[in-house]
Amino acid sequence: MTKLEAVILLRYKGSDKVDEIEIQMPDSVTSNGTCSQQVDDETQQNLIWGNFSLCLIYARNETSWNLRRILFTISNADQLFGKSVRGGQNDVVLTSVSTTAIEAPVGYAYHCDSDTKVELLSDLPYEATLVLDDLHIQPFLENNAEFGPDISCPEDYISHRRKRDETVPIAVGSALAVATLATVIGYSIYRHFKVRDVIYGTME
Amino acid sequence: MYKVHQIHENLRNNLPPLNSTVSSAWNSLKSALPDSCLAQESESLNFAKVAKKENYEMGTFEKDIEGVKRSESDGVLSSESEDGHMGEHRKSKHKISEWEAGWNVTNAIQGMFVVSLPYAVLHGGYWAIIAMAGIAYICFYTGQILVDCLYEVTSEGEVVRVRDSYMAIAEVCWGEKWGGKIVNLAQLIELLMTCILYVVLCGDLMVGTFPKGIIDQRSYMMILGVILIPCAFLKNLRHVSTLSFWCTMAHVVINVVIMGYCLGFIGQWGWEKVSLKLDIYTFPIALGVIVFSYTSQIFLPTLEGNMKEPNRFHCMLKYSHIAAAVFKSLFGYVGFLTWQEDTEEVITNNLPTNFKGLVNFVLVAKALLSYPLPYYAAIDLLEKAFFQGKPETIFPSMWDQNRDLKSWGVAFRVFMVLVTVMMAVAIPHFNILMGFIGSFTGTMLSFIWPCYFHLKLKGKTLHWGTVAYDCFVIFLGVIFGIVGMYTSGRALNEAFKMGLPL
Repeated sequence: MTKLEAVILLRYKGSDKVDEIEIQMPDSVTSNGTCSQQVDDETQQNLIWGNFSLCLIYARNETSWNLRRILFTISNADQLFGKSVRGGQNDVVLTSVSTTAIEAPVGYAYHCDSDTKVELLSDLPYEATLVLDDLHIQPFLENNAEFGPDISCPEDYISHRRKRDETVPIAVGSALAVATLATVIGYSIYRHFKVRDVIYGTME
Repeated sequence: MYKVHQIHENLRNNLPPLNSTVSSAWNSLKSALPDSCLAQESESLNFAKVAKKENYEMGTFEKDIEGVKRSESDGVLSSESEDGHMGEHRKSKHKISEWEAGWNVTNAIQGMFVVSLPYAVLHGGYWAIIAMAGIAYICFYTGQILVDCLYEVTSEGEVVRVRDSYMAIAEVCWGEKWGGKIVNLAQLIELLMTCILYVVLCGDLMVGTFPKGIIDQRSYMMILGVILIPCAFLKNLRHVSTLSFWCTMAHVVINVVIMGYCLGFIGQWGWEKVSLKLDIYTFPIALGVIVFSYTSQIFLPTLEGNMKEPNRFHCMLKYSHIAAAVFKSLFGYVGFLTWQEDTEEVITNNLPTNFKGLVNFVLVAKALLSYPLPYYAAIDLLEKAFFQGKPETIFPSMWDQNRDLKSWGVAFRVFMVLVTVMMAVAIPHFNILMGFIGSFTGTMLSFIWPCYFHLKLKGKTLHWGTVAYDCFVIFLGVIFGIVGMYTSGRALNEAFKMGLPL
């Protein structure tokens, strides 16, 4: 399952300048891919809109999964910057340099509200920065399953970007504190009267 | 017709009367059940005793120590307890029976790890099942020799109890200054971490049962902390034994329910899926689960010392471990046969939702009923180390002259419950952390130190086969410790690298 917002900052490195455009992934995209539950097999999910395709490739071992690679494919790339693509190709494929930081135990989802930036390179003069926002992903799920428990990215944890609703823990913690005080005070009162009765009893 | 009449007469003459038979059976059953804890006077049965040097040194055991003398005859130990004093607990009339001691041992060795045993069979195959029986025997042996270290043979050939705690044994072997402190510290860490683990497991189980509820794991742990506050009022081992009995009953319910569910799928069992091959990469996972599910040694010296008939200790220990080995092997085997490669790390996650909820509730009850034993043991260790009154310790005793807890004593005990709950709430990945630390302390307390102390105290009188076996168990303990610390350390490193769970 995948939920994310993506913006791709695509750059064309010409001989004298660098042109840049921003490609926003729409809310509704076409999704397809392949899925394997076997350990060491890769699984991929393609998110397709217009002339663009964002492919997320996952891998897993016995205990954890990770986002191994991201591919961003542009069809008819010559139309973007008005520059013909070298070699007569129309498609440009950019590949992530490294995404292994995005990982979680099997059965867990990865969730990051903070911006996650991934650099994409190609062997053509195209490069891009993929900016993922509100990223919530979990591969290797059974059909109709829901997201598992979240593993948050360090940036979220440090910045406290994800505000948990602390009402229930605060209420329960207060109840625990009250129960503790009531126990100790109640016992002290009980002992005060019991000791007094015992003393008077033995003096008779 | 005559023959029928004759048979009937023979039966009537030879069989005992029905009334007395039923009455006898009922008395046997009653004696097996723990007495109500409310019916007892509040005698304090001390769990951990500081060995008093002037009474218990080997050279002075002929003085006024009048402990339990054991004599061997045809391999059966008989006991003869005399009037007299051997520390405060010998004055107490409220000793525990072998059944009550057995509930406590069963509480310790048939704990929450049971739900991971099918997972152990997934990774270890038949070797895991063999290990369940083998490790049970080794832990029975180390428990037996640990208690044997409490006894010495007099010049008259009588066996006398001269030490009454694990700490006392360590003091003799390693010196008074550090010996007892090292063992005490290891015991305290092990006991408190066990308490914290039970709270963590309860939180996990409740969140697993109600994943979409508004109450999160931390809140569940704190709610359960409120339920655990009355543990501060536990005064003696009989109270703890009663709770351990009900813990065992909850354990039986879990076994019956899950095994019954598995038997419903007997036609689909994967007999051929149980591996015969030993996979050195996955077997350590299985081994870790099995090894640390059998550790009860920290409770044994005191349980034996508080038994009405200490000569029944070895019998109780043997049958507790046999029952544990049988239950665990069967449970692990049948659980794996049912779900095979889909076996989850916690078997309740394999169950259908409604069923899972029921079993989780019983597991929560079991965890809550398991908590008092290590908690009580930890409190007693702390009391004996710090709260004996001057000049023995810096702090006064928590008990008044009537053997009632003082108010600040209750406050301290409630505070310790809170400490375990707060640590459960605050420490992330506690399960793995406990696996890491427990691989060290648990291995020492359950495998290495009993054998080392046995060799140190009794080495000269032991048969060479026993010496070799002790050395073998020490070697095994070292292996288990290293493998356990390595796998837990790696898992901990990966867990923290991936980020902290919210």
